[in-house]
Amino acid sequence: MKRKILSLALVLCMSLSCFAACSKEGDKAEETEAAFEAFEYTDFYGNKVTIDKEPQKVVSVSPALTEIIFELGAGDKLVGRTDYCDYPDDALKVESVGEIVSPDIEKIASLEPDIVLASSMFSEESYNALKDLGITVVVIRDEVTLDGMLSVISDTGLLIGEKKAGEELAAKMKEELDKLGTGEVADDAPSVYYVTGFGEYGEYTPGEGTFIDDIIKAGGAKNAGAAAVNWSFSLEALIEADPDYILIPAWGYDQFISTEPYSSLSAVKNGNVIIVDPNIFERQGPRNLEAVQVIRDIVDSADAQDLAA
Amino acid sequence: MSNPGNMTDKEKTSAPQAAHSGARALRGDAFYPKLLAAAVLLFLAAAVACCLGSSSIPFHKVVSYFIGKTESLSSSEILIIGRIRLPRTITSLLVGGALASVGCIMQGVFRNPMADPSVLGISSGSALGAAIMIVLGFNGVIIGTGFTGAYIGAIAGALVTWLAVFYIARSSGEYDTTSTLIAGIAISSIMSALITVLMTLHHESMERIYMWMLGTFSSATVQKTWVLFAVVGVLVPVLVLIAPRIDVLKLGREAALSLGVNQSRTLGIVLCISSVLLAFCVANSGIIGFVGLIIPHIVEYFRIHRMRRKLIMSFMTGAIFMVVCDCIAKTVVSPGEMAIGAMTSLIGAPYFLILLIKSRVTAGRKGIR
Repeated sequence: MKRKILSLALVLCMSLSCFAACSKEGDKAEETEAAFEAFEYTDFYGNKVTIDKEPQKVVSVSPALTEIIFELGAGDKLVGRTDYCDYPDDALKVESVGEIVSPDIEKIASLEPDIVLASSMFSEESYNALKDLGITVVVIRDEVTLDGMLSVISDTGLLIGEKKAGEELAAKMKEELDKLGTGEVADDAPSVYYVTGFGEYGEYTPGEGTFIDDIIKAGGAKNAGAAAVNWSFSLEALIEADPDYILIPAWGYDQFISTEPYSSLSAVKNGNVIIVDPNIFERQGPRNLEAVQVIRDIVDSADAQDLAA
Repeated sequence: MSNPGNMTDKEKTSAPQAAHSGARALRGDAFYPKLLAAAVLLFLAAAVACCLGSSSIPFHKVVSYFIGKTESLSSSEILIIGRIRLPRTITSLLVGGALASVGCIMQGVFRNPMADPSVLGISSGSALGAAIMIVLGFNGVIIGTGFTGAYIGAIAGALVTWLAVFYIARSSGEYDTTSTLIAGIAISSIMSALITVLMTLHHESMERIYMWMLGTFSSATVQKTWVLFAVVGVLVPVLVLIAPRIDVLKLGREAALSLGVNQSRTLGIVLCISSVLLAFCVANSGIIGFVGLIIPHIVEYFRIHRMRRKLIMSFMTGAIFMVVCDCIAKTVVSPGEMAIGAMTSLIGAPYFLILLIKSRVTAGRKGIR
């Protein structure tokens, strides 16, 4: 405990002296530096990271974080992204550092970032390698609820020196989420099955306790694949559940609706198989609103059909 | 190239064979009772497999489905038994049997206990074919065939690989076991490397390629099962027909030739049939290791020595083993599923090791090593 207090005091002293040093310089610098408060952030690995000046160069090792950074209007701070970061279009103009789990460490170092942000997919080896190089790296925990996603947004804002923008975006999204639905699922709500893999690839769907499960519930529908174990499901269970609606990425649509026994499912017969962009469901960020909207629309159209019937 | 040295090596490494080689000439191997027992076991395993699944359909309903009284069943129950469980059980039975038969005949023809279906590179070639189709975006059912792009790619990939091995191994004008094995292993690593390259270049398809390779029997359809049934039903009997040639080959190439068995031609036929069998196995269920390698060794413990009988017994044992493994794979984390390739090794390898230790202990006690 003593040591903790000591180190905290030390950090405080150092940041204070930094302020003092800065204030002697030009007026402009004084303004920006004064607006930024040094803080400590506990990341996914339980490590405390001290951010004592506003980051100007950010590398994002997660497509979701890249989307959040652009949404926060801080796209110009981004100097590195991954191969997967394909949204928004401006992200493609940023240099890539490779993939998500173990990106190109040399490339990241050469970009001289003030901070590297990663998701929990990021490997511990890469994490340690970056730390050894003296690069500030923060792994943000992936959340399994929409509320958690909002905290990812505000944390990201905080970490890249856009604290206010982060909080505002999170608050705005919270408001819109509340408008979309109460998160309560009616007893007669339609059931929705989200396909991540099927057929030759095995049956995979987000079960209870996953982020997508929370999106489906937030939209007011039942998750037909809730019983899945670690995303793994079975064909038999799918046939038995016979969901009202099926959400599937574009690559699987044709095969799904034309292969036995999927073609015998009610959702296929009734034309209720809907192609969705998996990124709006799987990446945590502003576009999750669109995902909740997809579910909301399904619930509303099912209600309309019930009324008509 | 005939290599009698290899043969003695095999006799040495294969403990049970060494332990019982003296007795075998005197006693019969009681093949038919063993075959009958295997058939009964296979039937039981298949029956259990049809009753197991993530949806709980009561036993009497499964029975009434099979005796044709389907009135008491709901449409989803008929679908689950007829379109999911039955094709799945038959597919796992056929794939298990075919993989074990191919492994058995390969170990015989190469006179190498380490030979298994994967050494020829057919499995990796097949996976590469499927990966190419996945990357090219042939995801749907290819129009007019009813088969998916990955399925067709897997078969094409296997056949192309076989042609490559065939060409390289025959470059001296004759097949030869050593150069065929080496060519197979080299081609296998090329194919695996190409899959890695494809996965690196096409991140978006990486997960699907990987999941495809892990393999599952859950994608078995009635149509695919019929095709597999036809292929296995024709080709495994052909292997059984030519199996006695392998016994003759043990005498050495010249001696075999004088008895009318041409080593090169036999090897050529075995390779061709094995490749086609493997192509369809991999296309149906992804890459399943271990079965082709270990089942023939387990059959050694049944004290059956003639190749023809060993082959039939390998088929039965492989089929039983695979059906049992699939039962476990589909129930252990229900409603999720375990990858079948992992199941076969997890269940089969410890069992085989126990057999191995037991036979070593008995051989030690009898003073035979």
